[in-house]
Amino acid sequence: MISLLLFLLTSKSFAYESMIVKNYNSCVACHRSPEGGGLLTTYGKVISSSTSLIKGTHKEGPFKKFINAKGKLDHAFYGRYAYIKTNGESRKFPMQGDYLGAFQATKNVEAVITIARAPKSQAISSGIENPSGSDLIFLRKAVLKVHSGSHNLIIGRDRQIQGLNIVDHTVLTKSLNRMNVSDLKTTAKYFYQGESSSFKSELFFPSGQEFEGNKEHGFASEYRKYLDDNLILGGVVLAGFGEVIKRKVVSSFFKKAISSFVLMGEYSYTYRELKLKETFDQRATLTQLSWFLNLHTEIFLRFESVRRNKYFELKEERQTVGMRMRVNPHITFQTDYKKTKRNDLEENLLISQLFFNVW
Amino acid sequence: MRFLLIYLTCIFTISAVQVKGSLEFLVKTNVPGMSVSGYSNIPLILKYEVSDQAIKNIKFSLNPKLLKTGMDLRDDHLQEFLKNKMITFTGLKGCKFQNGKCELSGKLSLAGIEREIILSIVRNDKHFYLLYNLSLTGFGFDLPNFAGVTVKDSVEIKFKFE
Repeated sequence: MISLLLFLLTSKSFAYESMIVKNYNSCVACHRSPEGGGLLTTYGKVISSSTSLIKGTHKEGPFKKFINAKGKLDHAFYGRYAYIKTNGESRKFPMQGDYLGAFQATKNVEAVITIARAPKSQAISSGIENPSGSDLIFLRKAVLKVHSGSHNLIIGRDRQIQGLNIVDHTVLTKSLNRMNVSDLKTTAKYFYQGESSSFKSELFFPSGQEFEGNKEHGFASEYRKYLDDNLILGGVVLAGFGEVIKRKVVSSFFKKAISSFVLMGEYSYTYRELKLKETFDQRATLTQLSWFLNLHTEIFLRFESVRRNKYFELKEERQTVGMRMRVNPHITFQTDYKKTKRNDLEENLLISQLFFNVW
Repeated sequence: MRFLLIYLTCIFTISAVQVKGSLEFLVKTNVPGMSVSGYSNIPLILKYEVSDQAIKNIKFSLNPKLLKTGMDLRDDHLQEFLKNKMITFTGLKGCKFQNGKCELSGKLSLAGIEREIILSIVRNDKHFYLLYNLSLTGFGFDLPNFAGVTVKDSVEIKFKFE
């Protein structure tokens, strides 16, 4: 059931790291956010429409032009319905419902907001947690973005810098870092997107939605070097200072596209210091191979491992086989089968998800 | 082995050769971190003559419909851009290899526009390559633009032959 809980504050961003398979080293062609995910650009909408199994056409009729205030406003709704089966128990429920909006104040200044609705967790349903403390309706994003050429300044509530944007893996390592803490932060972030590299650095502060004792501030940076059009190397450093725990994270990652395959890897080390000066550390690895049968269908194999020592000793391995298909520009289907071994416990998890997006 | 035979042939005789190859191209865009690449999806036939380590009378042609970029929409735009006209190259003069390289002048036709260009030829033990850096504006084209994404002027073109 832990796995289920992990999904609750997780956003499916629709930003695919594996799009490097078609020479998209960066996200900025298709996404309004330089970090990917969220609202699409006009180009992104056309690409989404033209690469679906059932192709669509992207046209803005008079009604859309009206509600978009001639390009000043942009809106979208992302929803997700999930079916989860774990060790014989199954559950289906609406998992996500996000409103995304953007207001283009001037050519270089934009305000972006995402209001998210997460379902009740098992912990809430069983009375372990108080719903009011779980942010069932919350701001996933509320930022002011100022950009000029390759330079972006982002201020507000946003996702923390954390390397490869493979949501499942981020959720796994995050959960093992600090249970029940969202990766959304109040941030002041600088993002540089160059032709052959990208760099981002941020100062982060508590978002205000954390449980008591889990507030954290610190800084993080990420660098990606595009060695050519199908190979990226990168790294992240992060230092977080919480009320109970301090952590330092170093990670490196790569992405390599070969024909219709993409190989990705991420390796991270986390050092933690508790308030009582005790220390322990964690090593996490991710290896994923994706195969694009076509641009609308991706099959992937993923292997993840986490090792933690001392008081929170853990040895976890997770193998996933999954398939994602963009059925049409507004519907994506994904199904994953995960086999997890956590110390001596085994869990088999089947997750099938239907993503809806309207824009 | 084939190359060795061609090489020996180059030294001692004059003969007509026909080899299979492929085309690849890469162009960057105004969007940082995004480029467009493509290839010909069936073998390209190159005809040429060799004599005394010189290569001459190179000829090849390619139907633009055989160029693929991995996205149908891009392919459609590319074919539209090339006006569905055959891509052809005819060598005007021969060139002699020095340290595995030579430069060959010839006429390249794209979208019905013909220009005299210089191709670089590089060879190694297994393959030889024809390299050309195409300036779109220099050739007389407007830079292709779609939904805010504009390709840059310089297109790297590489022909690889067995």
